[in-house]
This record gives sequence, structure tokens and C-alpha cells, in this order.
Amino acid sequence: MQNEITTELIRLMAQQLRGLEVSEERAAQLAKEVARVNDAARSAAADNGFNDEPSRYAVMLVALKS
Amino acid sequence: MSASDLLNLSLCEVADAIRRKKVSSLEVTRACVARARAVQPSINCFIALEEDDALKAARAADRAIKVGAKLGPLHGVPLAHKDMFYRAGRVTTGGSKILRDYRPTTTATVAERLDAAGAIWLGNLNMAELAANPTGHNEHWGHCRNPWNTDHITGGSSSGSGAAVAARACYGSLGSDTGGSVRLPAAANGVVGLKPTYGRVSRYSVLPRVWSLDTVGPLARTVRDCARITRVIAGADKRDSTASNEPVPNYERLLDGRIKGVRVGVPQNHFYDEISDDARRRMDDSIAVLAKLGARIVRVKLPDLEHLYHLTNAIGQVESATIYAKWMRERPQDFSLVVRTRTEAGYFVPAVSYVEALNARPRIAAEFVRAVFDKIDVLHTPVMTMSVPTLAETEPGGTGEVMSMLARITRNTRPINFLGLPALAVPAGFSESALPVSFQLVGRPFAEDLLFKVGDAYQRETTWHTQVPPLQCTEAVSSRRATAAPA
Repeated sequence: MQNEITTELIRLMAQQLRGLEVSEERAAQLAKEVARVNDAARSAAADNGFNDEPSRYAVMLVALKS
Repeated sequence: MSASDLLNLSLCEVADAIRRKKVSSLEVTRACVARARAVQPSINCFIALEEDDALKAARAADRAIKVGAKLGPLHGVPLAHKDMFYRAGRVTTGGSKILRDYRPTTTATVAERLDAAGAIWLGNLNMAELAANPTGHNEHWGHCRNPWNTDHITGGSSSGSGAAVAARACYGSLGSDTGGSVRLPAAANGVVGLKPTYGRVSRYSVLPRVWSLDTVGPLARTVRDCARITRVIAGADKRDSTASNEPVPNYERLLDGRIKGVRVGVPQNHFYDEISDDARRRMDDSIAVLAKLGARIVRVKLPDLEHLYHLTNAIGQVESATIYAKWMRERPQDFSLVVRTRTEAGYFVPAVSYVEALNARPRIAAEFVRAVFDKIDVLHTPVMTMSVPTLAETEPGGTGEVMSMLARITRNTRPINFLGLPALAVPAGFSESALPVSFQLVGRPFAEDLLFKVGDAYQRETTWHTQVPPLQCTEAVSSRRATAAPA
């Protein structure tokens, strides 16, 4: 599930969503990094269930004690 | 007892000596202050040495003993801590330029608990800026340097904690671990460090780095010392909704040196990738010690951890970008290259991806624990696969080098934070370049007791934790705020 994130997208998001100026070179680096973590999250989400929710985490840790 | 003999005692030994009136808290605190002053010019482990307050507290501790007051488990023992635990009205810099004069109005639960246990607060220790760099570099307060070889990194972000404990400037220290920040400096400096289960220790009024991953843990020279500090600081806290209500065991009582039949897992994948020959030898040696003690060594194949590394980044980048948003907008020049670079990506990760990573966490933790800890009791892995690098080797030349440098150092520690599991770093000898090598023991959630038991049994059979760094000491510090000053 490799999705390309473009330098242009990063620059537009920076400007329009955050009011930040990002150089072309830096935007290219950020695009690669964001693609990595975004792909990891999307891939993990493929196995998430409809009834899953983040707040189950603390309960799960206790349940996994032994 | 000479000052040197005093400083070579472990935390538990010195607490016992103070309690039995064999030595006073004042003598011990004076010895620590002198040692801190002597090592500071070489390793820069303190941001603030609170000499006057510490000596005053030591005198009060001695008076309490004289009148037969009830004594806590850390009574009269000088500790110093990463500069991120708030005490109302006192400066807490977070190792940053931005917070150089920050005086919080609240006090951290862990600071209150240490105080109630009788500990002396010797000072605030150097740390990576905002707890966000695993090397120990700090361009604002000066780099912290490894007492075993000052050209090398201390590891971070609890850099001063690792260095000060190894250099015998204090008997123990609190650090924080979001991706390896207790274990890496513990490993690089040859001391013990615990990253507790997420929620085991309150985060209330502790400088935030990544809310969902931050943990507070001790560094000390022995496993027993860490067990004692953990018992003091752990437990429920009404002021931190993520602090667990799980009961806190008397960890020390379980330390009997017996680990016969404990299943120690040795990973067949991920943790040994690209390991150096001498680190591998130290791992093999330490596994042999555990086997000799009766542990059952089991080779285990682990679920994919590379994936977890990136999921950890998804959470970490977004939360830290949120925490630092105002400063990133108004004063980006006051961040170091590393912190700015790793924070920036968080602005471009979609909110849905961030929540997806968080939402996958309980399921992935459950899958990992069932796949691994149904077969073994503790997992044994190297903390780092390389020899402790130099400061120069880990100084990124530009933004393009930051993420790969971070990945190289935190590869074996960061995924454990995603899972939320406890992990204990234990010294296992030295590399060919005479720098410490350590293993980490990872367990089920809330299995700190078992990690302590195995680590303590190992330390009963080995002497790595008794080795003293060959530091050249010179007297230098004269002010309350130690030599470090923001550039």
C-alpha cells in the first residue's frame, strides 16, 4: 500500500493549514517520512475492528498481565 | 569510611548505612556535592546543582534520625533528576532554551513521592532538549559526555541521569522514556534503567514529550536500587488519568536470586540485525550467566517490529507537534535541528492516520504479548547493536540525516514504547573500546517484578555494575546553577 506523497502536497499543507514556509528540499524529505508513517498507520488500520477504540489500551495492558 | 568508599555504595547500601547511623546524610550529601563539582567540567551532567538546599535537607534528615522519626525507604539519600520534573516555583528547563526560566506552579507526583520517602534533591540534570534526542547532545546547555570516554555520547534523552549515576555524583535518578530515553543512557553509561509499563508511574507535572508514550523510570547502579525507587514512585494518581490503579508490589522482597525455570526468550529476528561482534559476545555471555542460574533459554520468532517503529513515529510526531505548536510557529530558531526536524513531520500526518495508529495499539499489544509471552517469561535483547558512538559520529549535518540517525540508535527500544511493556536495561560488560554494553529484559505489562528478579539474579553473579569510570576530576563548579549555561 505504498502511496506517494508529493513535495507539492507538503508545501501546500504547510502554507494553507499551518502558515509555514517549507523549502523544496525539506518538503521532499518530509514527504518521504510522512509516507512511511502514513502507510504504517493505514496498514495497521486494515485490521482494526469497527468496535475498536484507543481508550481500550489501558484496559488491555491490565488484561495482558498474565 | 572515605568519600570514595561512600560514593561506591549502592543506593540501598547507603540508605541502610544512614538508617543505622553508620554515616550521616550530611556526610553522604557533602561527598556527592564534591563529586558533582569534580566531574562536572568533564561530563557536564548537571544543569543545576542545588547545594545549599541539599545540605539543609540532609541536616534535617539527620535530625529526624536523632529524634527517632519514622524513616522512608530513601531517607537521607541524595538523588538528582532529569531537569523535567516540576517543583512549584523552581526553574525546570527541560534542557531547552525556550524554558530556561520556566517556573511551573505545580509539583510532580513523583517529586512529592520521593520527598515523602526521605530522598534529598541534589539538583537537576542535563538532558536532551525537551527529551527529544537519544544521543545526549544539547546545544543549549552543552553536550553531556560519557564518563567512560568523554568523546562518546551518553545516550539520551536522560543523558545527565546516566552520566551522573555512573560517575558516582548521586545514587539514583529519575529519567523519562518515550522511545528509549531511560534505557539508552543507562546502557551507554553502564548503569541500570527501568522503562516501566505505560501507566505504572504518574506523569503528572512531568514535562510532556508524547502523552501516549511517555513513562517515568529510575536509573541507578543496581537492579535493587531501581526496584526501591520504583516502589516509591509507582501507583495510582488521581491527577493523572493514565496512571494505573494496579497494586504496586514490594519489588525488593521478591529479589532472592532464584530464577530456576524462568523462560528467557532470545529473539531470532529484528534485535540482532547488524549487531557488532563484541555486543553479540556480551549478549551471549549474559545469556550464559542466566542459563547457569537455571533459566531456560528459548529462541523466539517475534512479530514484525519495524512496522511498530513507524507506528510509534506516527503517534510521537503528531503529539509532539501539537505540544510544541506555539513555539514552532513563534520561535522555531530556538529549537535544535534534531528537535525541529523530528517535530515538523507531525504537521503533515493526517489526523485519521494518527488515530488509526492509536486505535491499532491495544490489538497489536495483545497480539504481540500472546505471540511472545505465552512461550517465554522475559525477552532478552541488546539495547543497542553498536558500540556507543562518539558525539561527532552522531551529530547530524542536516535535516536529511536526522531520522536515519534516530532510527539507528532507537531501533531496539522504540517499539517497546508502542507496546507499552516494561523493559529493564542491565549492564553486561564492555566493548573492545571499553564502553558499556547492556541488555534489556522485556516483560508482560506490569511484570516489573519479574524483570527486577532476573536482573538482580544476574547482578549477583557479575560485577559489571561495580566498575567505576576512569574520569579525570577537577574542582570547578562554584555557583548554585552549575557550569552549564544556555548558549
